[in-house]
Amino acid sequence: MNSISQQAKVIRKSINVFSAFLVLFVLGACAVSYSGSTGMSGGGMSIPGGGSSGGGSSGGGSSGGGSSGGGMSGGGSSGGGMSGGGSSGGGMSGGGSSGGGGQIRGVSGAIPGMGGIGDVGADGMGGNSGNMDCEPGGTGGWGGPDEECEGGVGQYPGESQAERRERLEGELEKSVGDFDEVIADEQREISTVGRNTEGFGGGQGGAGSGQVGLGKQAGGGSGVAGGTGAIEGPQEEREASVGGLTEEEIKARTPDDIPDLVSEDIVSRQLREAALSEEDPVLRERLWEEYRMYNDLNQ
Amino acid sequence: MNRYRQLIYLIVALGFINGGCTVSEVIHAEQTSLDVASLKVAENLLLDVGILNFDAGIPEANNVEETQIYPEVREAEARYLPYHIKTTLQGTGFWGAVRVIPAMNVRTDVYVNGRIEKSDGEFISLTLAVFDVTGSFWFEKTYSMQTGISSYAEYRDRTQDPYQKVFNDFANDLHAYVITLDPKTVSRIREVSELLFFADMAPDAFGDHLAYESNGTISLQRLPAQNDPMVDRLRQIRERDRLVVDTLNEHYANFYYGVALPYEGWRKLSREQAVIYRQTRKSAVQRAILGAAVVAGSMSVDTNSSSYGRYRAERIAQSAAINRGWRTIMDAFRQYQGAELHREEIKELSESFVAEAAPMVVQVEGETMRLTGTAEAQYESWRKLLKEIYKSDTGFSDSIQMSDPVRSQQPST
Repeated sequence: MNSISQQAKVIRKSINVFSAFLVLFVLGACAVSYSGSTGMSGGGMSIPGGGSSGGGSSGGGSSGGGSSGGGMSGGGSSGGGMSGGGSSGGGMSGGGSSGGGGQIRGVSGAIPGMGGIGDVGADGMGGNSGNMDCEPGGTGGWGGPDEECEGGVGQYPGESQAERRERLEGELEKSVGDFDEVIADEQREISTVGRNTEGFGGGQGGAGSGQVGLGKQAGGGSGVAGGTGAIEGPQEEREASVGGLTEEEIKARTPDDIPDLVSEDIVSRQLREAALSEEDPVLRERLWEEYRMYNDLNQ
Repeated sequence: MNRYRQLIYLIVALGFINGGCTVSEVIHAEQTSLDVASLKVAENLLLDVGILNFDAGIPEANNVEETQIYPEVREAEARYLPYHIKTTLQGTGFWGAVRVIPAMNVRTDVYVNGRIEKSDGEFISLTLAVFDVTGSFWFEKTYSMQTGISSYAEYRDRTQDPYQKVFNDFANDLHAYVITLDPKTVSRIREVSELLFFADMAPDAFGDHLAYESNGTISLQRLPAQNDPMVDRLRQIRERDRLVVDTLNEHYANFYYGVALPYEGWRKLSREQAVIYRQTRKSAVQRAILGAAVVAGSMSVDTNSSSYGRYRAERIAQSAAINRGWRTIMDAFRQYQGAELHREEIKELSESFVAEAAPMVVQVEGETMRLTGTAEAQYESWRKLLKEIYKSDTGFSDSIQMSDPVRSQQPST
């Protein structure tokens, strides 16, 4: 009877121990999946702005392991989790921490059992830097893998340094080209706006009729253009408005004693314009005389 | 007989002087000719100029009735005048690209900042300050002028702004300053300007090429290698930056041309009203003084005469003179009050101009914000990409923390 009860006790203890192991195993698995998901969020978090999914994936991917890098955000992050699980073979806590270390800086510190991280720590560092790299990953949609995700981390598999640089340069070139198009569209839009140059002696003109050409700056290097510091524009804009007279002609037809009057009223102005427009010098002088008399300039 | 004549003279003199009070003042508009390059200046000696939108110069507690400063008018002027200075400088041939820039973060060689002290169509007073990208202050000066009637005349050369003298004076001063700089300094300014842009876009690569001194100036530490591929990339991007500012200047040009006619109309009429207001007040004061003098003079005349007939004549003349003097004073008073109507006229003109200009100001500000925002977002992405390329070029990474070397502690023995 006693032997039966002892056997029952042993079986019960065994069951308890097995249960304990089972519980620990389940807990361990939870820890692993936790670290994996942390890594995923770490990768995601580090991406600023638009196009961040690319950056995110590189971070997640890099920490998760080289194979998972290359831009697939879901794959990258889940890979991180899985790698944690994989290394947990040597010890659950170690696996958990390696996952954490690989994914996000600081999280690993929160996870106990750093002991087993010796070699994994190096990967973890890679993961950390991968996260940092993912910061610039979000380059407006070109966010790609990072150099920091070295060893396949966030980099296209099998991509050499030179290939990577070439690809980045290509991206920059394309981006600059795209931006040129944006600016060209902007300039086309501006050119559709009518520009009224009437105030400068000209008529209605397009935006391009001003002194600044679209997309071009009329550089000073062009030398003496302009000359008078006036607004550059069509030649007709520079012509005076009285009977098409030029500035020189107006000066030539205006006697020296005709001043700039403050209170030149409409009659006075008409007299002046009539005198300037008159071709006959005698008649012109008579008109100027009228102007003088009207403005009391004879005194 | 003398006293009688004296009174008659007083009345006649009053009549003449009253008439004389309405004589128009004659103002000759001042002019300055613009210095223009007779020969093409070498490309490497041309500095780019960036003109910031002016400070409108609106006092904090602005009482429009008192200051006659209409804020919306000034806001429009603060955008119009810089653009006209740009056209003036551009025409001299002494400068590289001259642009109106929205803010100091646009990298250029020379900056011009301004403040409108006064602008009412008749008088203009602008304070302009110039400094270069290295932080070196060039000069600050207040430019003023008074316009004449011909400044707004129909037959004038329309390419010349009524305030052209001020712009020409400034352009000449700016040229006079730059020719005092030796070519090496000019080159240095251009290099610093370029490297500041580079450092802004790629701080990892070019952040240490410049040194920021405690006095606010920037000095060049070293130049990048000419065969550095990063330099080529950044020069390409800088061209885009210039393109953005040029495009922005197209918007400014639209504003400039759009507002030019109403602005000139406002200046012209505002000036006329201001002149009439000033003349009317001056004339009223003169009349009042004369009237008072006639009244006083008439009253002081001794009319006691032995002859009754003469006594009557003198008394009548005295009464007439006093009456005339008094009426002159009253007229002067009414004239003085009537001058206020011209101020009301200016107010109405200003409101009319604001109704036309304010939407244009809002539009150009909106376009500026939109375009600069788009560009800045693009630059930010380029910065990140350039950083990646730089790391790819050099193998440097952020994980390597660079810090000042620290001497390790000696082990205790």
